[in-house]
Amino acid sequence: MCYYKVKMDWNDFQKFYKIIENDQLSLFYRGNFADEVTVRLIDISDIHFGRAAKQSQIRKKVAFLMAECFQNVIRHGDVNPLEEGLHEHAGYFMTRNRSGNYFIASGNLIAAQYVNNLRSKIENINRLDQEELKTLYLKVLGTDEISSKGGAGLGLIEMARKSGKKLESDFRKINDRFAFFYLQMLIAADNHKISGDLEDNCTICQSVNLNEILAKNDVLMAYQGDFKQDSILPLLNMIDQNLHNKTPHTSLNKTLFHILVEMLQNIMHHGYTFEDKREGIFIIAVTDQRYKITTANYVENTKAVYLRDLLERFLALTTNELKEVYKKILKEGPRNSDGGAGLGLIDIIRASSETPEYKIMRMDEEKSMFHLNVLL
Amino acid sequence: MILSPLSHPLHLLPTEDEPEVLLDKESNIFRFTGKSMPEDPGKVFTPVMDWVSEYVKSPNPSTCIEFKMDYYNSSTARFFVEMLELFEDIHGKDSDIKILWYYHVDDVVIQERGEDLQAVISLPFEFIIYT
Repeated sequence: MCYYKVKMDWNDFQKFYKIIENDQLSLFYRGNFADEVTVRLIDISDIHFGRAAKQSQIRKKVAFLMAECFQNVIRHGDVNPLEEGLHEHAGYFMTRNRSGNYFIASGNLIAAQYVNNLRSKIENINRLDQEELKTLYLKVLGTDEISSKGGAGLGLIEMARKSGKKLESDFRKINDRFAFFYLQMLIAADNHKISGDLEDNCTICQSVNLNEILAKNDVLMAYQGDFKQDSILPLLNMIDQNLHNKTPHTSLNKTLFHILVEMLQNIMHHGYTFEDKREGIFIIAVTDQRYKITTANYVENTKAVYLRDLLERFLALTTNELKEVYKKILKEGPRNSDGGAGLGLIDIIRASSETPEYKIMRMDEEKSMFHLNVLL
Repeated sequence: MILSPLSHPLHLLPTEDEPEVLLDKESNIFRFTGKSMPEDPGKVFTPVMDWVSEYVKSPNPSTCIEFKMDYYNSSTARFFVEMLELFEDIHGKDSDIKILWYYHVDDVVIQERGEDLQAVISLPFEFIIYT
């Protein structure tokens, strides 16, 4: 059955979701770390912060650490995963907010010969307290010891200072020449030890797991969080920018953007609201110039029934019949602020190169999970 | 209060998710440009509908409506239809209406949406491809 070749593996999706489902925000990105892209990633994270002063401090720290992470990945840009035939080991970035704790991680290929040096640098930094880190920082800043890798570990020291917690790292051997280097930082809600839920779901091991699931499914970007308009605009801008960097103005990219807006706004308009939030997941994967888009969100049970009927009706139609229904709704459908009265779904079906697949699962008395897979 | 379109053009500036709209009777320019994916399209299109409703009461002898959209969402599509229906009512009587529909050579979606609109609206459409 071709389902698993073209769509995100369902078991993988569930494994992925199980780890992140209690995050307030999860953002994953794999691929090219051009400036325009990294700026957008910071925008996406930024929009989730409130306006309180305390939030503003954390917000600045998070943005700073994200930027350091990108630098970290870019700094090692001399190892190009594509040129080495290791495209599944593309640069990785992750940020997750959970119960007021902010986890930020990056991953990138490094030459195997740097592993020991990097490991001991991190171990050394982790032995120091804040005062000692400051002293080391000033000392390194004052010396001329700037390696070709840039910074002589200044970035790492800065990360440890800003985070106030130990740096977590992991090295995975790829082959004799390369290893994959993971680095994770935490801005903690309080000074307690990370335990329980956070220990189960947020350690660097889980960040590695998550990347491996995403890599296996060729995921470019995944987002879990609120789907208000001001949250989804930076997501759309991010994708737009990413597409533009790769291959500006191709027909597929244009279509992708149109479909993304409909899929994300579908969640915005119809998602289940809990504590003034409409939460959902959006995943975009790319293989062989084809895009796979997955969304998952809760809908009220009554809406789920309506949605299933609508989808079953639309999916049973031929291309021409669908076009006629589209025109009929365009001409006669209700004009309201609550979406396009099914037009968006028809747009999605019409643009898909294969019949979209969906699942609707009842979760409890109130809501169901709506999972939609589209291939362009 | 709705100002008379005779003396007051409607010019809405583009935002991250709203189109640029220029409706100017005196210069005979009626143009929609850019992206339209607002959360609430009514916010953008209510003033547009109000303006057009006034305009069709005393239109110019010829009216050319230009659409040069990069993207618009499905709820915007409904508003375009509603608005064009106002023009349908006066076409060939009080004003000769024409739609200029621009689409990028690679933008199949905007092309098809134009064709879908043409199929439901009884007004002459001219399609212009740009690169």
